[in-house]
Amino acid sequence: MEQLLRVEDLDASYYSYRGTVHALNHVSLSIGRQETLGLVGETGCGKSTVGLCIVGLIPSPGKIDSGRILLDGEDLVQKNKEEMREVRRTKLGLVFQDPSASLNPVLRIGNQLVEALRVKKRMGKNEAMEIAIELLAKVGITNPKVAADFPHELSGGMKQRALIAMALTGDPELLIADEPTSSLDVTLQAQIMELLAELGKKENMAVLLITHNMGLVSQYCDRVAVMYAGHVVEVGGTRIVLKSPSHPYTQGLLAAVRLASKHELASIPGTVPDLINMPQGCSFASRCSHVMDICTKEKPELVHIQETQFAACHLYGTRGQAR
Amino acid sequence: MTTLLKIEKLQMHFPIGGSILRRSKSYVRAVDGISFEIEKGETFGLVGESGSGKTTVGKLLLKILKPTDGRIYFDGVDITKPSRKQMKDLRTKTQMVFQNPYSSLNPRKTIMQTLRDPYRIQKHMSNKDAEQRVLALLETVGLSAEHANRYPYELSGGQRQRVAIARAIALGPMFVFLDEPTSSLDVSVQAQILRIFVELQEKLGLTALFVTHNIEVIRCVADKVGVMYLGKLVETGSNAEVFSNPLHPYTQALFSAVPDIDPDVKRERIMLLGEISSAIGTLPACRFFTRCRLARKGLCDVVEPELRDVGNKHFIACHMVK
Repeated sequence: MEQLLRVEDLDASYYSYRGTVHALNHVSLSIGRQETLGLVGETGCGKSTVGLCIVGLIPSPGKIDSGRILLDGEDLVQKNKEEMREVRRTKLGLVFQDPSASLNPVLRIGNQLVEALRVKKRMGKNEAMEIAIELLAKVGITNPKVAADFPHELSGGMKQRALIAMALTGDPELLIADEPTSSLDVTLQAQIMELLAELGKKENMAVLLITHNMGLVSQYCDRVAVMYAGHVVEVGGTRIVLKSPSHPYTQGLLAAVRLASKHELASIPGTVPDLINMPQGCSFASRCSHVMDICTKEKPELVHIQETQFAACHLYGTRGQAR
Repeated sequence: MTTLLKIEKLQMHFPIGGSILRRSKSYVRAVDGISFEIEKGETFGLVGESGSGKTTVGKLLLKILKPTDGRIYFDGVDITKPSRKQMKDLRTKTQMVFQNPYSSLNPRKTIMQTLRDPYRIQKHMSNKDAEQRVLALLETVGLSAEHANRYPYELSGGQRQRVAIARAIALGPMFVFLDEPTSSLDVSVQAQILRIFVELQEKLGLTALFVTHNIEVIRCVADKVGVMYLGKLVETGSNAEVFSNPLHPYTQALFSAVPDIDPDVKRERIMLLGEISSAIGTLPACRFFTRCRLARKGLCDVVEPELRDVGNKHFIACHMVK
């Protein structure tokens, strides 16, 4: 598959009074055109920071320390503010977790879309309103009167739909959806995910789905990247990673999600390491049941396991080629 | 088995608008005439989407809210309108674990201070005795003495939720209401907390009401399951019965919406149209009428279905399902 986005050795940190928080450590991943990549991990693993780095909106005191983000072959890290804005205008779409916080509460839905269209597509007002109503229909809001509503008049699911419509205004090549359904109920989650999957196909978009929900990854993503404490620990085709996870963290996470019955509850002992004082070796070493001497000394690199599957774990030694 | 908790036609209508001089005319029917029983030592799991009234049911049982109608029996005694003495007794027998351990623990008190108070106030223990008890208590929830003198902000979410569970079981209650106890935790920690709950429940013979919107969690821990929709219980029965054979169209749609973590399982998704409607001033009709794929005009929109037995202690409230 032709690559659309390629993130190489990305390092990003937040500079706090307590010290430097190493949010991302040598993160590498890629997304093909029209592919849906799931980025999963627990709170604080850096998955949202990856999304923010790609769109160039990592908030101060955070910053990208090194690495490259290649979109269509252009390095986004090197771009200045103005150029980045152009990239967001033409190539990227963003959907955040909390739709109530992402919409402007004092602007009508239609006007927010019109504003985006006028900036992104340099359209006139009337034309933009027509397109706005079309976009709303595309995301399942068929009643044109909704365009005249304020965000507080809409329910959570409707707001999320409006937000998706807004992300579509620039005909993006890559849609970054950061926990798009976490604030919604399951029946709405299903509606929104079906919509995203359908739009991805119809509009030829690649989707980066940032989530902590393994079920969504399993049902909606082509490939998955698992993050832990700022590292990508495993990446590969969804089916192969979920069926035969190779990294101990992925294995533990999947066992914990499974919730087989009340007498077989698996969990991962311990807690995530402090991102300020990161351990020298593998970041999962303190919680890993397969820990070896080398794990506390050297950081593992992503190595090839099988087919599309790569994992960063010393268990697999140098069996494959580092990628 | 004996029944510990029994509620009959429980109702909670919250008035909207209105003032001292003007009575409010409309009500949010958060809980609208629901009945069920919880046996001793059993976990009753209540699922439903936000706004379905599941938390309100728990709050009514703990007497945090006064019901507008209906009866609650605890251990055979009517506690719908408890006396002061009854109430004090109930406070030690019924306890609650809240959703968010970040806001349910007092940030200015150490864990020791938080956990010591129940013993001092209810059991009139000295500080020293109470502290001994607290240390033992911390161990039962998988924490150690070193955590006792810390403040909540020094603990992780999972550790805080352990403290919240410890606080709930401190006085040896008979009944615990857990309101979304794992919703604010990561999955790897969620299983730890569920395991502690299951262990404690078996050790102490606790009876529990477990409320969550996470269907997988309910399937895992509940003995009996109740599904709520807009203040009504639409389906209830044993865990095995409800999960293997969901009958109500809402339950079916709800279960089918949960994405499976096995990529080979492609569930046939029953898409619900629209969203949960409002619980304000509902007419006598099936609450699910507007979104139901089986709904029949002239029946479902005019007659409210009652819970009926379909065998094996499995109850559903639907006109259309045979």
